[in-house]
Amino acid sequence: MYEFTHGGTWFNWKALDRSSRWLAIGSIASALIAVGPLLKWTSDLGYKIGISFGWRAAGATATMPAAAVDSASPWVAFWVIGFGLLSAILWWRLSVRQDELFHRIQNYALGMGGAWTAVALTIWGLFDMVGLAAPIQPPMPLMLFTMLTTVFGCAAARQWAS
Amino acid sequence: MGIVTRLPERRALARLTQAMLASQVGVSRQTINSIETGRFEPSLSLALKIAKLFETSVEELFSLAD
Repeated sequence: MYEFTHGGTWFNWKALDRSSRWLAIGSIASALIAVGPLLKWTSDLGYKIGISFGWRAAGATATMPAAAVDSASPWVAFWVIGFGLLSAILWWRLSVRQDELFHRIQNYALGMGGAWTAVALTIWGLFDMVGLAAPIQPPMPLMLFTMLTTVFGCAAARQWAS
Repeated sequence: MGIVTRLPERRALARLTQAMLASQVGVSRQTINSIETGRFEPSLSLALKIAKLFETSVEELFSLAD
């Protein structure tokens, strides 16, 4: 059975049984593989923002360098969805082996993460509609949901399981 | 309204550790710890399982705080 450590951000691996341990490792590894192309997208976005604010480093070009990975190509979508789905299935298999405290923390994190992502995207969409914000980039909802779910998960673990 | 529990006393009387109790009712040691410190209120089924293990009633183990 699980035991949260580090404020809900990690597990005590010794407390997990052998199957749960492999499910957790598989899920985390699949999630890291899934977000690989998004890291490239994030760094490209950072580069664009930096240039738009005039923070160009000495010697850097004013335009984006040719991308090594085209974040709009279909294989990137298949990669992210495929490994993301594998990660979700392994995590689901892990979670059904855990107890009600684990489920309460997980449900709170997913519920609050999903709700606040919807709120943020709605506001962003409205700003975009009246021309006050740039259009929402496809990976943004996923990144926002991941970040918010992690934050709410840690808050729930501290409240109920610290 | 919170819950008051007499679980730590009952567990000590039975000479059980949190880990031993957790394993007997099928939850994590962290769950037992959170119930005992009042941070987490157990479901009815878990409360019944714990009460059955100690051969007592749920009301003996858990009550509403005044």
